[in-house]
Amino acid sequence: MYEWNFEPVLRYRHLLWDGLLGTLQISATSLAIAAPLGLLFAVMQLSRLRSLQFIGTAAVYILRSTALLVLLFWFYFAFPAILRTAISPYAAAALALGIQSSGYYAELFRGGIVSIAPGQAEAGKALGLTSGQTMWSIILPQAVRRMLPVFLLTTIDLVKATSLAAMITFEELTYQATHIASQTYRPMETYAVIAAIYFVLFSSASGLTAYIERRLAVSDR
Amino acid sequence: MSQYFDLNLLMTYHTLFLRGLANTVMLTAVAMTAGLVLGLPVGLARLSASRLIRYPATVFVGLLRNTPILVQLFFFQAFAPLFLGIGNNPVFVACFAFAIYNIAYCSDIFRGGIKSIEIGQVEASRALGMNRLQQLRYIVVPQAFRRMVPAFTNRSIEVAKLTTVASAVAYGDLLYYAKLVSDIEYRPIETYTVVALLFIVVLIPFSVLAKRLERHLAASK
Repeated sequence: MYEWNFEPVLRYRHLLWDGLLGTLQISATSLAIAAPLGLLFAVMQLSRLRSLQFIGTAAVYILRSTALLVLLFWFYFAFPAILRTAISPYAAAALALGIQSSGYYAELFRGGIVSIAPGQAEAGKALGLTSGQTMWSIILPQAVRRMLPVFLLTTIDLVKATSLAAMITFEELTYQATHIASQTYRPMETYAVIAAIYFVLFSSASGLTAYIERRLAVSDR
Repeated sequence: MSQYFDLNLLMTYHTLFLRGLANTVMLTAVAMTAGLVLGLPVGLARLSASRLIRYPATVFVGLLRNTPILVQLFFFQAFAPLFLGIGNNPVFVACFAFAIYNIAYCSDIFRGGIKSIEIGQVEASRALGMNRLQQLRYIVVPQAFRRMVPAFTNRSIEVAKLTTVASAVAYGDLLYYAKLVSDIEYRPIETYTVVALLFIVVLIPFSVLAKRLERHLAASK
């Protein structure tokens, strides 16, 4: 029978802490790229200009069909070779995660904007607002409330995806786990501990999202 | 320019790329088959009135959905030799990890689809004297399945993209061989660009199809 021994793993808890901070850091940076880019693609898709519509739609389809790990490798190995300069794992991970996730954010923003009844846009027009003003002060504030739960779920997926940055040696939680596993010769305990940390993080976040969703549903009535 | 983007290199190694592509398709097929076949019983278990059946299924799905697939792969890589007596076997580790991971995700699609069937349908079938199994077999599942088709198409796309992560445990997928060729020839630009484009070309038709099915379904409601 296998004897579980977590003691060696816990001796490295400072690395677990570093890893968790790395995960949060790369998540925040990727989100700062993904959300604005996603909003841009969403607005383009809803534009009246055919050319902008096409670019927005094509971008979303291409991003939905791109494998994140391939993009991470591309930005870490191929991109510096094109630029003929080195690029840090952090920058490569932020670019790949940010660009890849922007497709999911574009979908949720588009869905949220479309869900606001067209009457609202017409009312804005009747008040003499430009389409930009209508979007900014009439539609978006209402759409944000509706989008919030999906936004949180998409962000949970983004944080989960940051674990792949370990493959290009960015020092987040999963990377530190591979390090601890090779130091302690206790891979099962190490990955069990890491899985537990992720589990607590994601299950509490999705629990919170469900709570917010219920609250919003009640106040919508 | 040929020095910069040398496609002959890819012709030289085309057997490796084809083998990688075949393994990517194989792993996706294994994961989707497992999800479609075993996701239904797990989804039904989560809807069961009996806690003895419902709780284990909820825990199973919760654990797999709230931890990253990369951590699961690393865990099973350590787990397989120690508990299942299977030596270093990347094919087994990748298939096993992706199968149970996808069963968890597909069970949620089944659960959502079944829950979306109006209670009146179940009551009507009960009034006709059908037992629980007959209700599911003839009334609920056939109607629910139609609604689940877009979700399963999306799931296939997500799984196909995610199988690249199996290269982390030395499963010979497309990305694994691309990295091999890139490291041998030091040609990151060609190899990773081609793999990224391959994914986009293969998956875009499915992305478009999934979107069409979603719209079609939304319109028929």
